[in-house]
Amino acid sequence: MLDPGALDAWFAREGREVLPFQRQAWDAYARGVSGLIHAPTGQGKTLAAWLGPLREAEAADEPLRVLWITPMRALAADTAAQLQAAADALEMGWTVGRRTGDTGSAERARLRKRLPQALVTTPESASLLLSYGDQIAQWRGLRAVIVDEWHELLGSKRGVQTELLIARLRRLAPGLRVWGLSATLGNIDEAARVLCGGDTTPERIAGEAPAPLTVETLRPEPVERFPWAGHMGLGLRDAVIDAIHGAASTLVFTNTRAQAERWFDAIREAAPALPAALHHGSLDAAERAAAEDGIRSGTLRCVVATSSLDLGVDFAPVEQVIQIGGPKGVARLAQRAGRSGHAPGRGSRILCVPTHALELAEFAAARDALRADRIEARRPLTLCLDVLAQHVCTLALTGAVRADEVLADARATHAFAALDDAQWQWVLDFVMRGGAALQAYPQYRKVSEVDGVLRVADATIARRHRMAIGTITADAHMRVAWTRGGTLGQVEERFIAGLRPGDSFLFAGRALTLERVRDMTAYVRSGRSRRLVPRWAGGRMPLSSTLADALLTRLAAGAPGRGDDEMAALAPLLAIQQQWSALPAPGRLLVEHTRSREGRHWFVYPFAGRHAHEALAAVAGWRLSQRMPVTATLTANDYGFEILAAELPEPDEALLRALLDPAELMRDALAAVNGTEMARRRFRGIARVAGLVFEGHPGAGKSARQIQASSGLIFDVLSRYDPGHLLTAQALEEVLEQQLDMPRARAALVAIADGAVAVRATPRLTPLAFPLWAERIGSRVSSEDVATRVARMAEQLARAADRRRTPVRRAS
Amino acid sequence: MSAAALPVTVSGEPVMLDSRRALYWPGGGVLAIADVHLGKGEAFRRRGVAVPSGHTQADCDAIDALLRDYRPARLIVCGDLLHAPARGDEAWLDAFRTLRRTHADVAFEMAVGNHDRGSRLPADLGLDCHSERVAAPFVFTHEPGAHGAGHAICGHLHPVVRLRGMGDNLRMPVFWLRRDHAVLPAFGSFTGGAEVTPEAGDQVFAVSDRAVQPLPHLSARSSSCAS
Repeated sequence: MLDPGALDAWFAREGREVLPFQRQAWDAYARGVSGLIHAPTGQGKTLAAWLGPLREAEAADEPLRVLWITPMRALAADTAAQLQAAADALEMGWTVGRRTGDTGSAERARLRKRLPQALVTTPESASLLLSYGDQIAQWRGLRAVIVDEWHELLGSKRGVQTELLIARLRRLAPGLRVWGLSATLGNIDEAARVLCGGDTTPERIAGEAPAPLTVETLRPEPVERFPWAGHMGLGLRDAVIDAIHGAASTLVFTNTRAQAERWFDAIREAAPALPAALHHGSLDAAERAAAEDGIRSGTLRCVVATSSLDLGVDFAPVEQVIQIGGPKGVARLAQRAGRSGHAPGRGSRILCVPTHALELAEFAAARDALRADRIEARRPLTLCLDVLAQHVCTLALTGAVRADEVLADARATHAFAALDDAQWQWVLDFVMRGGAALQAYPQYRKVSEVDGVLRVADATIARRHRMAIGTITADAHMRVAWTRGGTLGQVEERFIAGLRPGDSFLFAGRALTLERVRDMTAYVRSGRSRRLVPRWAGGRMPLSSTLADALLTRLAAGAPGRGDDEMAALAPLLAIQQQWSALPAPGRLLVEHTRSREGRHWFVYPFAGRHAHEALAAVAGWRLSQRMPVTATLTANDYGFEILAAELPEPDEALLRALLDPAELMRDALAAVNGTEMARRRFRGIARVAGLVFEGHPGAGKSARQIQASSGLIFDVLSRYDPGHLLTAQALEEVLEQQLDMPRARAALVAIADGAVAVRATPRLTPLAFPLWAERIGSRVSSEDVATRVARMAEQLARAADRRRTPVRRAS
Repeated sequence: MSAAALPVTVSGEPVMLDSRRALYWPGGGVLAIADVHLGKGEAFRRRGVAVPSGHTQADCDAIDALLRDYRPARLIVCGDLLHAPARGDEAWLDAFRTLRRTHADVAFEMAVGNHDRGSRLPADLGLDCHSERVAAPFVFTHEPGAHGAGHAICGHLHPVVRLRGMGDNLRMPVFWLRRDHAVLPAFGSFTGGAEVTPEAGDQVFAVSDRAVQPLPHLSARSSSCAS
């Protein structure tokens, strides 16, 4: 046990000072309690969490004492090095090991024999380690689990997996202390309770108050020329390049990889001599590492990145951070800004670049929310039966757990506290007998129960399950490789599936042409063909409700206030909005309707975020179609949705209130969105987690190929021959709760029911309507059967083919 | 389920494309299907993947209905009747035996596919297995491609096409009629599909529950549909 003075002495030698929250964390740890440390990046959270357990080090040959869980493989190396450096400097004799999906086979084999005193790992690799029965004894000496970047795991199935594995470790090592590290969240107390389990009140330790954060905005000159819609913002390229030239180092954050690729391309074209690099999640690890090193060492002046650089990656702060496009969330903007200027006393600063005019208001709103300390919450998931089924199999592999223990541990977690007996029985039936409809699963065997102990008898099944543990995060990805050899990175299979050989796309900062696709690899050559695919499907985050509320308040205020340059710049646009229609406001729903050559348009602005608007548009469109024959095209963005049809009635208030009635929302949403088709797509992730689809791996033998089927096919078979299957039901629930954001849609409708409705007939598209018009991706309300849809598409596509092959105009 | 059939001409012979994913050739009294993959669910379950049973019985029932409707002299399976090498003790064999007894007057023939190889099928199934079946002008075989013995009727690919347009998006199994061979859609209800790219001169027919529909735009030009 190291005396507390030794830590002060070490800090002093390093020329640093122990911050009060660090001392608080060490003391709390020494008292034996669990808790959560939340502080902005760069304040020394890692040492706050690490030195508590490290101080208690006894010998260099102790068993495993500390398990350090990190959400990203890429962070593990940096973290392990940092922990080891502290252990060495304090001469504690501990070895810090690392076990992730990237760990080589020799190291894996060594860790199978003996775990070091501290191990840095991911939730997936930790689960895998817990599946080895012969290693159980080594876990019994564990004293602490530390979960880094807990805010990243919370709200995802990986968070649920982490809860389950902590519950298991608690059983193996009673008295275990659990500590989380988190950025600021709107629900920090809940985050702490979820991580630490329900029985005690966890300690909450807050870092230093963050240095003031400055949000600045690049404004187009003159503002009248600024586009009303768009998502690239390249019109401000020259101003951005001036800003980059004006700083020693710059991080340019974008919201999508397509944006990152386009901006990187544009920057290199305009400033070929500027040392710049690209960083996003699809790039090869080596390319990403080169970009990180370049920023660290100062050889790069500019890195264009996506959320891939939002967390972790440790490097000295850059001089300047630029955000392209609306941040969509307050927390995200703060986190990105935190990449700049960590020097004491100097605040962070972020320069925001709008891609269309209304984003100016989004930036102003984000600044308001930051000042008022309103940050988004992340809601933890509950009752993910797919994750529980995987966990049961994982523990069964040890051949040393009883079903009732697994149940008790699961119910001790936040995620499964409400698990009822019927659900648990279903999960057990699923892993042991295939499903609840027993006669449907002859010959099935995976987990069996012998003398009350769960086990997996078949070695092939055991091996396959261990390989599947690591796949929670992975979407189906394809390697992108040169035809002449060498890998560029990974990209979603879905994106490649939409390309034809000869099509070009921007990737890894290069224009590439697809040659052929083989064995989950897209082979490309350098060069740009005539058909450039403009963007690839990438997760666009919906506007958070925190930011949406702030935005609505801003827009309602209309006239600029003090020091509000964005709103001053927006004033002419808002004046047009007010003159042609009205400004939206909290407590008053704005609805516009107009006529164009395309037909009649309704524009409805609930400001509830893209996902909820998709649901609301579908429900309103469907309810309308129940009242009158109509075929409508629906479009949604973060501000509202559009209903377009050849003929639509006047949207009077009574009709609107009927269409947007919160009663029976769920029933109508299910009828409106073809929930089955969406659930079928959603099932992919669930099937993978639950072990219903097995993705081949290089060198997989024939027997593995014989059990490969797409998740969609499995979904169909389950729906038809085992209709009570809880995992297909879970898919539908995930569609409703997450994809269509029903909670938010419902809240929006309740607010509308309680508020006023302002209906305006407008002469033409207003500034608020224009982005929706430009966005139109066209989802249809369709009550027609498959054959009718085929006939229509066949006819339409044939007509399109006849019109020669003019490039298809894409809405953007 | 009300089925539909579309009359077309292949290699000068009138044939019916049935929405139950079968081809009927009245001139030869042949009902042809491909890629049934019997026992696929069982293979999954034996290896620890919980797929419910039922589809094999459904597939046997579907063959039974087709045989009753068309009364062919011969049922020719263009390969992959089985999913995994049969060992002789599979549960689905009984369902198939019943089907065989019900239609004792029909010749059951099979062009052996890649999934069928290595199987030891009980003799009482009355399956006549060969690498291919010639019945001029056709040759029924598994692997698609030009064939010296005649116009090939084959399977193996599980062909599907993706249709996109007007905000809609469908993936449809198809009959893919090419210059010198015809690829049947996979018959089995627990089979997936592989997207194919028709070329100029091909004819493509989408199969849904109650219709077989031509997709002329896929044949009119040299690449798949615009998005």
